[in-house]
Amino acid sequence: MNRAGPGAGHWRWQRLALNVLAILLAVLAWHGAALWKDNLLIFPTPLTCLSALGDVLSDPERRDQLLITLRRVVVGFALGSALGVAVGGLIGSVRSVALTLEPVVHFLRSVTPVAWIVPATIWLGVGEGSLRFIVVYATVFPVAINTLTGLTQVPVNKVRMARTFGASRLRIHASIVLPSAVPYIVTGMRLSLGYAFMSVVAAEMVAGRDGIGFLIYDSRIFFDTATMFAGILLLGAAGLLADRVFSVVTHRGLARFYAGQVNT
Amino acid sequence: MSATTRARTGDGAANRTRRAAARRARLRGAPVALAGICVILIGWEVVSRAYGKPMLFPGPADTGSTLLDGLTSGNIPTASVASVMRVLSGLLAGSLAGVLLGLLSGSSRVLEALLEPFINVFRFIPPLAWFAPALLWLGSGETSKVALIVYTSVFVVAVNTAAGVKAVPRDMIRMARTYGASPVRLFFAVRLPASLPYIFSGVRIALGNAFMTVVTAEMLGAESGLGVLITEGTANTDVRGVFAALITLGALGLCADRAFVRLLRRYGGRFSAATREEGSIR
Repeated sequence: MNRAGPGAGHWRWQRLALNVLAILLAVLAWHGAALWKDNLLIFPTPLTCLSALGDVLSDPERRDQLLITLRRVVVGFALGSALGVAVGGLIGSVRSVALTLEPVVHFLRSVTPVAWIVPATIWLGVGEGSLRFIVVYATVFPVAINTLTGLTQVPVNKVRMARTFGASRLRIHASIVLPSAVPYIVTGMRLSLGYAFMSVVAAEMVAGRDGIGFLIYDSRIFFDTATMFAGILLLGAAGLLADRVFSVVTHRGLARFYAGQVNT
Repeated sequence: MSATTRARTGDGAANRTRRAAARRARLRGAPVALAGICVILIGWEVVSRAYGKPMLFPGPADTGSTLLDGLTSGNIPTASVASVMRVLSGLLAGSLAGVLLGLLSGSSRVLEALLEPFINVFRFIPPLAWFAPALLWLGSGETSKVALIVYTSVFVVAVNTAAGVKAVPRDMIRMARTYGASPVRLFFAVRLPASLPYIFSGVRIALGNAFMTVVTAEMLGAESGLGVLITEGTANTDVRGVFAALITLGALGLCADRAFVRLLRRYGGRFSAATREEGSIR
């Protein structure tokens, strides 16, 4: 950004051209490697993968797999974020809660969500409940920890000013501490969105009956490598799109919380 | 010279008092923390007793004795060593590759534009999705598992490194140039040291990712490892074993993270004011 000068508009097009060039080169290299390997089962060409992708998208039943996975991500992400803000906010505001829960949170955070698939399926059964549990688990901790950090990084001078003007502790909390934590919460949520995608695929592969993760796993068993790659590409595209949408929406909608920050 | 020494000792003394105060505060909080953790443990035990099936929902007592059994029989230590070795080798290779990629894409706009589509797309493809291709290409041995860990570490480190290279204060670069530093000198004496804090924070995230990925990779097939213990527990519907493995895993991940932060503070402190001042491990 800081390098944007008079030629910035020009550079934007050059950059786009370079992006496209890089992708084209990679696809060409992939095609060459696949032809050289000459084994479609192990190393399909980009064209076969593209046609497999077309098959997946035109087949209503398999197209639904993508929607199923996306719905799991969205629901789990929303629940997990809300819970994360609540937990992080509680830990950040009440000292006795912090002393009790913080070590527990740090411990649970370092256990991977995927490892909970097994207990979750034993308790909640194979199905929606345990998949949702995994996604919620994956999203809670980044949000909680970022909320906590945000609550401790409040600009001291603003708090001092509010106190000088006679604001109550509750008032300070509501109108200074919480708003200044919003950028941190948003960052945590953005991280969590990525984790939600990762964990939902893992959960679907291990304990699912449908969804993109299951599609990938299923096509491996049938040695349908092209469909497997189609699933992987689909996943990357969906994740990238979700991330872009999230960052645009939050920057537009929450712009006032970023006031005074240069690098948004 | 004497002025800097004085400033430094003054700083050290201030740090020491601050650290002592923090330690006192922690000691004062200890009883509350302990009581809280006891309440949580008792609650867990009560819920598990009420559930009534220790195989399916073990309490802390059952889990603890299974954990002890595993530790003394050498089951859990062997599995932990296998998992940790995978994590370390994958993390090392992945971080080196990530630093290289990040340095390249951070120091030239053209290279950045060429690399960014890949970094952006691969970031959102979870390592587990590559499990099947990795099996096909690299076989079911150690290579495919380590490759997955390399994959989880590379992009985080690359993105962070690139951000670090771009965030080098321009005045520093100008000063070095004014004093006639060659581009190579500029890179090794200014750009690389200034971006080290970013690189380290990338490696720290990658460490966490590696601990996640190794379990998944092992759950889908390995000879030994904590992930294998978890799968075995499922096969026998014995959640006690799963819990013991989970606790070991969490403890290892937590210790690795803390150890990394400690090492960084001790040996990497001079590269970053931030790790010394705000990198408080809470």
